[in-house]
Formats: sequence, structure tokens, C-alpha cells
Amino acid sequence: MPKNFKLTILFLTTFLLCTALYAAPLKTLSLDFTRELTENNKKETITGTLHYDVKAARVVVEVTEPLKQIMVVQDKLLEIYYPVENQAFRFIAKGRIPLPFIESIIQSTQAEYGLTAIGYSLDRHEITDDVLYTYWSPSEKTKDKLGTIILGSHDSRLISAEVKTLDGKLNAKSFYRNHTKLGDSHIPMEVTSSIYGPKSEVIEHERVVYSNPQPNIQPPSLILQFEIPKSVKVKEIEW
Amino acid sequence: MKTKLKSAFKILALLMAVLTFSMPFVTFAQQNSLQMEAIVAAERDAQGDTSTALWFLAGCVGGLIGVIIAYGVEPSPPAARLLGKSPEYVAFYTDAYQEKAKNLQSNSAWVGCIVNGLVTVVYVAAVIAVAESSTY
Repeated sequence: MPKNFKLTILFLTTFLLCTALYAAPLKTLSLDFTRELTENNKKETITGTLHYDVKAARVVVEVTEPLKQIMVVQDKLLEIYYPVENQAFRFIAKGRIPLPFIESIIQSTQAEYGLTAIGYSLDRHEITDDVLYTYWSPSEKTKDKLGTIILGSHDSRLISAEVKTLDGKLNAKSFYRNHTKLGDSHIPMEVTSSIYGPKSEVIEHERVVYSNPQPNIQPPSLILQFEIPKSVKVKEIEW
Repeated sequence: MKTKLKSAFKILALLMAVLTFSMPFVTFAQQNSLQMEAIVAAERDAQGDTSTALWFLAGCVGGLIGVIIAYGVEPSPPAARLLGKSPEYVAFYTDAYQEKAKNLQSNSAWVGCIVNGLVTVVYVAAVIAVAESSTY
């Protein structure tokens, strides 16, 4: 497992839906998803629906397979509720908890997919087979921790992202396919990511397929206001 | 005929008894395997997420304060890793993750603190030696 795994995942998810939502004022978004994760020759599939409330910065993930689970993330709070088992967890973190899947949407509203905001600067660019490749370097402060990032765009749509290790080896690579128009932007409805080990072997492969995107549903889905039923005993864990 | 029925009944009763008594063991084995799976994943993730170099530096620069911070800071795995996991898995995973990450943090901070202490001792000894040699 690479040391900067968290950062890698953050970077890869940063570019998900990256061309989306620049112009359309997004208030809420709901998406169905299927996530396939292959690790150590073991494949697990998770399906569900993702709900995002922009103003409240609140994400509710409704998992339907392999089990029923509702995950709510807002600011420093993560709640997980199991309606079948009638059990619940409440994680209270000291800092803000990254929103699953949706973190990228927030960053996509920033210039250069949020890379400049975290200290990256554009090094150079090249065009190969109609694909614009931009090379991004970390800032002086973080260059001993973060590697180079290479983004590939075609027709103003992000189609690939590569994250390199400090010594220039491939750390992770993502491909973005099947873009769909949402407002003035294009959302990739399929994202595949691979995390590489020190010997360039794939140690983790993830494929997320989104479907049925519904921006600004009126009235907003009730699930966005979901709260764990009062009758359920909640296990609280401080992070 | 009666004897045959009796022996068949006995075999069936025996089978039922075996099945009944083996159920808790099967459940226990499944629970154990889930626990192992969660612990292995949590320890691997904690190892990947914890920056031992950073905590070594904290111990080096902050000394005992760095070590205390290392014990106090609760490491947190990202929410996406708990997605689609059972309540038992979540409980095992979070416990194991926090324990492993805290161990890594505090161990690295202690190493940094000890290295800092050793360097300080060597430095002070060198200064004293230089001072003594210049006095004579």
C-alpha cells in the first residue's frame, strides 16, 4: 500500500466529474452508482444512490447491495445506519471528513480542478492524438511528499489522470468515460482507477459506474434530511 | 420393518443433533473470518495512511510534547472504506485501524524523541569536551 494512498485517492476523485457544474448553479444532486473494487484477487461490488446537498455540504449515501446501509457525512460527523440490523455508528472527527465520491464535485468548481488550490502549478503541456496532456508539479513545500500529476483532456472533457510517485513511478491512473451533459458541463459516468505498487503491479482496481443523474430535484429528496431514528442505540466513536 | 424405522429415526436424530450443535461453531468461524479480514485491511490501510516520517519529525522537534500529541491524535480512515461493510466489520475495522495507526504514530514519535535526545547529549558532551580542552 503506497504511503500517500489517501492523497492518491483524493487526487483521483478530484478529477471525477471534473468538467461538470461550472455554469449550472447546483443545489442538490442524486446519482445511482455501482462500485467494483478488486483487491488481492477479491472483487466486491457495492450499489446504491448518492445524494448531495451543496448548501449544507451534506452527502447521504444509500447502499442497497451487498447490504442496506445509509451513510451520512457532514462536516466533522459521519453517521452509518443499518436499517435491517437496526444498528448505528456515529464518528466524531476533529477535522472535516472528506465527502465520499462528491469531494471531486466541490473541487471541480475550482480553477484547474482544484490543483492550484493545493499548491500545484502547470509545468508544461503537449497535444498527442487530439488529447491535451497537462503536467502539474507540486509546490516547493510539498514536493518531498507529492508527485507529478498528468491530466489528459479531449474536447474540454477530462479523460485521464495519472499520479506519479516522488521518484517518477506511476502511482495511480484513472480513466473517465461516457460523459453526460449536466448544465453546461460533462460528467464522466464511468471512472476506472488503478493503484500501483512499488514494482508497478496493480494492487487495487476500482470501477465506479454512475447512472441516472438528477440535479436540483424539486422538492429535494427527503433522504437528504435523514436522521438516525431516536430508538436506535448509536455507538459513538471519536476520531 | 419396525427395526429399520427405528434405526433410520436414530440416524436422523443423530444428524439433527450434529447439525444443531455445529451451527454455533459455523457462526463463530464466520465471525472470526470477518474479524480477521477487517483487522488485516485496517492494519494495511493504517500503515499506508500514517506518515511515520512526519511523526518522527514531530518527536524530533517537539520531544516529549510530540510524543504526547502522537498519543492524543485520533487517526481517521476515510468514510469510503466503510461503505457497504457490515456493522461487525465496521466495529472491528475502526478499532484495529485506530490501534495500529496510533502505534505507528507514537512509535515514530518516540524514535524521533530518542534521536533528538541522543543528538542533544552528544552535542552537550562535545561542547563540554571542547570547553574543557580549551581551559587546559
